[in-house]
Amino acid sequence: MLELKNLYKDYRAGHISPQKALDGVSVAIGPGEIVGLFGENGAGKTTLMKCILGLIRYRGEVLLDGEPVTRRNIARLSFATCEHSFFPALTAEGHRDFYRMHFPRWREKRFRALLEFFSLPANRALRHFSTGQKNQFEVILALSQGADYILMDEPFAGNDLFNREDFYKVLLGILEPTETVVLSTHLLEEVERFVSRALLLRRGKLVGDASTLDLEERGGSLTAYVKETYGYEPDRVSRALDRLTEGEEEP
Amino acid sequence: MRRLDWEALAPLGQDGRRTARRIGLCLGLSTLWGLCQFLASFLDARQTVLWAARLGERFPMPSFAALLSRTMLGFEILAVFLPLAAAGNYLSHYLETRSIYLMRRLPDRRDLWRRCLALPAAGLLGGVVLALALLGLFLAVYRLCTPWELTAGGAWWGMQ
Repeated sequence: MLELKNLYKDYRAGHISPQKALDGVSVAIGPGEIVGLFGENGAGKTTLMKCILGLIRYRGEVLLDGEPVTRRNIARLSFATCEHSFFPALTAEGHRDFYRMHFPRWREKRFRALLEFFSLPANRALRHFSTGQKNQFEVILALSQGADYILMDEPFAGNDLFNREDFYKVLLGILEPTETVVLSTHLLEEVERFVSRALLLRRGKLVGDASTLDLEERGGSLTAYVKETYGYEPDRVSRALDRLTEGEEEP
Repeated sequence: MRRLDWEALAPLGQDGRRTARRIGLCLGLSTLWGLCQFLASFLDARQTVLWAARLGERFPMPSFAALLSRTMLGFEILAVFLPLAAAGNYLSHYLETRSIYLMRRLPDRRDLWRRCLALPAAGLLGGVVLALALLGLFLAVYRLCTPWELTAGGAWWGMQ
């Protein structure tokens, strides 16, 4: 169980008053869940993931099966980010060797299979990969590390639709029942069929938490739930257009 | 005996052995520079003093400290450059990608620091050892190869 208790994070920029990136986020994520983390830009999705991984300072608690995240258990968390966390001058094989050295639960078979599935070259430096290939490799590393909790921050930015669809299918096919994925993305409709739970962030606060199964049973959809939670006004565009054009006279 | 894994001493994707060779070369050049500088100054000063003595003039041998000027320049440059290289190693984890995220979540927290600091620190340590060895050598040369009567009573310590 990954538990976040009252996470707070402020960003300070010069003399401007601190911006609240996270404002008392508390949530528990159990084994085997595939969680979609949604929110507009600046909602706190990336910050939340970085807090979980201890990459930035924060107030509050992050517990992994009741224990704080330390060097002893951090290998249970993996991370794929759109910023990419691999080494550009290193080959795929080089990364495999490095991960195998540091992460004892490295999944060699999965790594090989995914590399082959996406036809990624094993002996070419990653800086020569296309953006899509880089994204794929970033996710492959996160999936092969042998982690129980796989955090993905906008991992498919730059990949085409078919590529992403393939990845969702592969992901669903290879994940073991205890593996948990937390996926931050804007591609709400795309992942709707794929996630089991949705967490909605807005201005650093957790404003929504729903299981997709519950939503389906109530006859709703994730997209509708998100729109409702964020107070989306369907007629907003038409009203804006009306306002823009109301003063115009007929020629 | 286990062979030294040079790759584990440099940021991933960099050639640790090549970096070590470059640092070694810089240390070698610094040593050579120091030796040449000192020997040139020392022999020149000794020659001048001996000529003066032959002409019946009193011209004391320059102090040891005076002869040392610029001999350690190579090591001084290295002392500035190597910490910058260590900082560069760290910053390289922010170039093109954010590999720092991976390095900072490794179970072995020393790996990042080992890769950033090991070779520059070894270079600095090597520089200090070589500089001290050179100083000892220079001192020995100064004491053994300067006729005592030519030194102005303890001048070799740099105190007139």
